[in-house]
Amino acid sequence: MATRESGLGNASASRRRFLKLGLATGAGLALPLRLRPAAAQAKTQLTYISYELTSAAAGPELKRQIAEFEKANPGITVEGIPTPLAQYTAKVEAQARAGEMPDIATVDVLWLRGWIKQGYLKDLTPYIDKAGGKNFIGQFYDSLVQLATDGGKVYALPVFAGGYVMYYNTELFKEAGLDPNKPPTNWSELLDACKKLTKKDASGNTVQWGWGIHGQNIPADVSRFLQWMYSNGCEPLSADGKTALLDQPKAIETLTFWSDLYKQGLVPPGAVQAGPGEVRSMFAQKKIAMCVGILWGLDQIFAENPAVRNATAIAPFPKQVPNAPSLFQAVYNAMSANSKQPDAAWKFLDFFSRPESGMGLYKATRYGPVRPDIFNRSDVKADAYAQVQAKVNQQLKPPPIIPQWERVSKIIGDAMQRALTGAKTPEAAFKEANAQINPILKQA
Amino acid sequence: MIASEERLRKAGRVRAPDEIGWLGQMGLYLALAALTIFCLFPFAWIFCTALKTLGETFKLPPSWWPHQPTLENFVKIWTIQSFGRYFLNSLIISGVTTLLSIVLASLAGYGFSRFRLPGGRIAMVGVLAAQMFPGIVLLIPYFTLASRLQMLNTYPVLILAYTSFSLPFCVWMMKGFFDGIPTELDEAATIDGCSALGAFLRVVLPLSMPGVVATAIFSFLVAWNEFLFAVVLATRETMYVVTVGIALNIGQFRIQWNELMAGAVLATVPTIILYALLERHLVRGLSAGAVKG
Amino acid sequence: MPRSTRSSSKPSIPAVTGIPTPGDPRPRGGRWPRWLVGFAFVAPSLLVLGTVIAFPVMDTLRLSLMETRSKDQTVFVGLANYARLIQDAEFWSAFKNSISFTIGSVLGHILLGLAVALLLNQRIPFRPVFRIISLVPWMFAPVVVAMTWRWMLDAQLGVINFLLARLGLSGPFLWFENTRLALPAIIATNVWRGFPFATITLLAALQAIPKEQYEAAAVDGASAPMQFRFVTLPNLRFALIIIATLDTIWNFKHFDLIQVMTNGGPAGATEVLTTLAYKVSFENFEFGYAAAMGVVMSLVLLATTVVYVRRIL
Repeated sequence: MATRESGLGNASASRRRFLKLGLATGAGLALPLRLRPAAAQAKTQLTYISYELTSAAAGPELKRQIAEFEKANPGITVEGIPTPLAQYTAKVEAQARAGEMPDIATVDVLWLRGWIKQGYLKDLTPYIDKAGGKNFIGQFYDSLVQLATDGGKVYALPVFAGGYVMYYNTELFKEAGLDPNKPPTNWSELLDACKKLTKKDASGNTVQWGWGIHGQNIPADVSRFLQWMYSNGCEPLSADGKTALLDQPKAIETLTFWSDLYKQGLVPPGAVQAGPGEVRSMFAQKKIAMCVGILWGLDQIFAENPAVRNATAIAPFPKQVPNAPSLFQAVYNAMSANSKQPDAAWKFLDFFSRPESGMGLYKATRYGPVRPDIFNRSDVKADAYAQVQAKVNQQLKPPPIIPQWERVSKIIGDAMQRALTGAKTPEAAFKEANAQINPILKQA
Repeated sequence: MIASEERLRKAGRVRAPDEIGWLGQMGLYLALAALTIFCLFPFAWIFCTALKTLGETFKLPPSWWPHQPTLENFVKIWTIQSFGRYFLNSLIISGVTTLLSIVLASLAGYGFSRFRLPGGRIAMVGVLAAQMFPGIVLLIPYFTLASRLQMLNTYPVLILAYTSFSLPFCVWMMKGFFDGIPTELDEAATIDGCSALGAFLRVVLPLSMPGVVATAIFSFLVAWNEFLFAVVLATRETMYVVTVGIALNIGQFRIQWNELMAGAVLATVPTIILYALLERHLVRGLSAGAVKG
Repeated sequence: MPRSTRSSSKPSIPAVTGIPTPGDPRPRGGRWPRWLVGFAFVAPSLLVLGTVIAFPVMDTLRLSLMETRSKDQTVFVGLANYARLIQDAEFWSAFKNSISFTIGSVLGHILLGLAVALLLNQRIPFRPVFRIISLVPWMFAPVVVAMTWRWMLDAQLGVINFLLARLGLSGPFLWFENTRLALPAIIATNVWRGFPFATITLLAALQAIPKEQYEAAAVDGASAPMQFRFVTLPNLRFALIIIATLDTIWNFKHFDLIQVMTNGGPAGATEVLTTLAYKVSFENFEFGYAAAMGVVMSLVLLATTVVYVRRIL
């Protein structure tokens, strides 16, 4: 019996523990109810959701500007909500549909049309009219404004943008016997350069490639492919957005040239897994000599490998047809449809559209200016990269402006990957994609 | 009562070493070595990256041990981001979820194990069915519900969600454990004057410690590692948890690999502590047997 | 978990197909009817599950009959979303991938988990240390695991291809480019991450196997494999079925790992139902259609679960 008693003794000790657990649970549930952040009383509090706040370079600069804004507007405080990019749309959309979207949100150009159609965003036209109408909105690149306009109403203000350029490594150019001041300007020069820049070591393994392909099926990589299409004078969709044009000879020619670079071994193996980050790393490590790039990717390359800083140059993307435009990436600020303090939110949007804000972002992270006047500032003029960008920006062309773009982009991405992996010929891949996209475009 | 002592003493005894021969011993050590490499290789990579500078991270060929190991990434993630706050939030949410899951699941497991309930089987399948809808489609309705109840940015909203994620397993696990404990024990306790709750708390539960520990570790990790609900349901940064804090390093134009990995390494510390504290209970039957045997 | 210990003084090899007795229904000296006492034990859990799940599930069912044209405009379309599912080739391809992913992951988790649990149940030096080592993969959030493995498996920047090249294998191995390798690569990552769950559960279950069953088996002249077959496995039956059931549920609706590693690529080869539902809702704004996918997924899981757990109910 002795053992049994000791057994019971253990049990009652464990019961005490058990009760403690229960109490702790209750306390744990009750406590946080009081821990909710106290809302600022007299002040207007704006909420600002952005994946840019998480960025190592842009985040601190945005926070600095927010503090400046609060200083200039003593009645307003701004709470930034940094959010990881991968879950950003899910979060904002859940909030928007529950009527809880933060007052201001960062919007990528690729989501903009869909968000306008879904009714997440507030029409900014009345505020723009009050701020000077055409005089106000005319400060920005017109193509950026067009993208944010639906039915004559403007729904967002651009924060940073830029057309795609080509990165190239001048040292590797010299080693290959190419003139570093004469980067390829058309596709045949590009192909020639790629062949010269692809090198094997003594045992026959390729150690350096001419070009780096962005082959992941993500919107950012599909956009980079569209840059190829634009440079060949073709587009994925008709101007009215109702018909897919991927079965056109020029489109198929583009996919063929692009995937042939890969099949000829001028691009590192593993392209379907290479997104912007991977390609940049390969460029930083001198595994590739050229790739599509964007102005604000440069600093990351320099951070990963400071040694390539002096060897990195940018040039307009090689054009297969004369005067081919560049596709641009753009990021906007928009006001949520459910914002209860639109006047204060407008002040915030207005503040971030000033040239000083654009300058600040450019200096901190090379985020491309959305206003042509910034390129004329003396400190920007001194920057060789900015000068190339200013030239590229003279011929910008937006990605296709339709609400269903993300869906269409995914189908194009699948076709790109099929062509790269050889699962289908470029022609078959694009014809199939064309047939899949057309019914989607017919939907209202 | 003899039976219970017998069981107590014998339960969970491992095989004596003499049962496997010299060759078996060799195989055992080989298997352990393989297991260690298999489990730790990616961890080692994560750990070394956390100690590297960005410049060294993508060097080709890759370096194993960092040439200039730095703790800078740990400092950065702790100071520049409010990682301390995220940690606190995670600890509160995961801690309460774990306690709640253990309490609720052991009660329910006992109920399902010892009582013939009307509709009991359907209820048990129902417990599992609660998990069957994918989180992706439940996200917006759950967010809407939380927003209507004014519960956004509170701990309970995540605690309740995570408890509902962990309960199905915990309930079944505990029921299985209780099924393995002879009903004679409860009966004897009842004859001694215990209530049903008393019999459960004093006799059955202490015998089920390995099960309790397994469910505790499980529910803690479910709550600690969950990401999608955490990122969507916390609309203010002050309510972010560790997984979200780690993911904040995955930016649009750059991934801050070193800080990301430093955060990931830090995030394992509480689990290791919890496991170290609970491990001996996972083999409780063994030590009890060893003392008396 | 063992069920055969009811008469522990009479050691015997339990029959493989035993149905557990659900406790002794005899009334005992309480004031409440016995079923009510039982219900009181069960109620808190059911309450929590009911509260958390009921509204979102109802809302999802409702939404699956709707077409969401914009935030404020939803139109009742009856079963149109379900009818569309049947004809949607993308859906069926994702369905197939989901099933492959689930089967591969569950089998991997259970086989590896069982092997490691048996290993760690031996008398080995530094056992607590090895136990914690075997728990390491599970300690990382899926997002971190996915990022790390994607990087380690990268064709150019990954350490694994570098190592394989050092070992003289001509690479690089393009795990995520080959449509036949991509899904297995993700499954392997998922097996790595998830097997400790099975290990720790089985380890707990192994602790509860009465020693005398092994002794009796040894007396009967059973070899080690025979003991495993006739003592260990039957005693782990309950735990194995529970692991299989829940792991099936979790993996069928797994999302994080696949989204980060391939997001469905290359060319849809790893597109599973959840990544598809994510795109359909948050990129295409077809929330009703995604809800219908969710409903179908849960029905599939319900059917599977009933088949599994019927054996242990």
